Amino acid sequence: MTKKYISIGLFFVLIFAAIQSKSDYNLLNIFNKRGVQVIENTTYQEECGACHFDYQPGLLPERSWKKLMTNDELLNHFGEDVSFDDSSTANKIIKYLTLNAADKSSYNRSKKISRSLPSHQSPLRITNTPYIKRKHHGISKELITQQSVGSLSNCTACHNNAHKGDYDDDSVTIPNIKAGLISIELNTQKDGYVGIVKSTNESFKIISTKISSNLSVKKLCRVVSFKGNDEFSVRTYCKIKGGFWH
Amino acid sequence: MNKILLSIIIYIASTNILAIDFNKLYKGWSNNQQVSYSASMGKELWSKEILPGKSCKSCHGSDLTQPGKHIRTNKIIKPLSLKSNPERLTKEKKINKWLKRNCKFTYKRECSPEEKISFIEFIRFN
Ligand code: HEC
Repeated sequence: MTKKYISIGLFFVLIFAAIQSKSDYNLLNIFNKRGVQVIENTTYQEECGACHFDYQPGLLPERSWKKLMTNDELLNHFGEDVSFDDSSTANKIIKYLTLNAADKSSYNRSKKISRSLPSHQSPLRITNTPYIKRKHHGISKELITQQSVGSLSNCTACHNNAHKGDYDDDSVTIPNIKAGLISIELNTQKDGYVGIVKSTNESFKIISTKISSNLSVKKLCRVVSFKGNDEFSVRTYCKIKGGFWH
Repeated sequence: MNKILLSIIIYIASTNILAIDFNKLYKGWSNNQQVSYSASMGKELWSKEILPGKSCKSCHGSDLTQPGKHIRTNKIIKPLSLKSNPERLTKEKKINKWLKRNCKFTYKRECSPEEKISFIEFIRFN
């Protein structure tokens, strides 16, 4: 009798262990694979990751990767010749990308990217997929083109855990976000102006304005105070002519 | 006794395989022709913009012991100097690959043997 219970118990322990070892973090994630799958391919990391962030294969569907990796495309890869000298390296990468593409993935965000895309479209840019476009809609142009970001292709500039395949909102920090949110007021309003920071609901007041110049670079600076729920802070934002508030 | 001798021979042979024979590499590039090159020539070329806004310095910086930053993608590039990155210039295949690609990026053409050798000399001793 006890033998029977032991074997039944053992059976469940084994099943549990098997499920655990297959899941990403814990049991809960079997049914809910968040984000996109992390990179597990050194050839891809070394070859493609030398020049840019190694975008996970689960960010584009198979048909896009196939197109991107054709000889014609590699000869003019967003303006550069990155063609491979040996085809075996290229083939390894193609295999890895296509096997783990968004439309082959069981990860949530990959599925969303894949589903957002009409089947006749094979965009070469991740930022041209409807899902990614929609997700970044409404981030002001100034925040995207500022020096430390540059363009939407620079995932890691704001997504702190991008290399872990985690693109959750919680792990996003957009540099200079506050300056971006009040840039119109900083550009147009006079000293003494009181306003509300959109989305954080803090109130702010433009206290004063001055010109700072060092080494022949002239900057316009504005001192701003912020009042949140139980926080008060003062910051100075400066910008060069035609530039961005920092 | 024989065993010791053999292991010494194997040891020397293996270290020679690992280290790059730069003279041989240069001769391969120049097809055994006499070419004039120098580290100082490499240094001068390093920051020269033959095409506007593009030089080796654009991505690798001018202090080779410091990390660089890819001019188009902002990706950090590990230092090129052997002083801070001993893995540099240890694989012929890698050197050839990047010289070809980077020269095409920087000058829209491949580099001449003189240029290539001067660059490598500059990197080796800086
Ligand atoms: C567009 C950016 C860019 C430019 C411009 C550039 N490089 Fe590079 N270079 C790279 C990257 C990326 C690597 C690979 C980095 C790595 O392995 O970490 C590299 C690697 C190298 C290596 C390989 C070193 C080794 O053995 O590991 C050499 C040599 C080199 N570059 C020389 C040059 C020279 C000479 C120029 C100018 C003609 C130049 N680079 C211009 C981006 C650039």
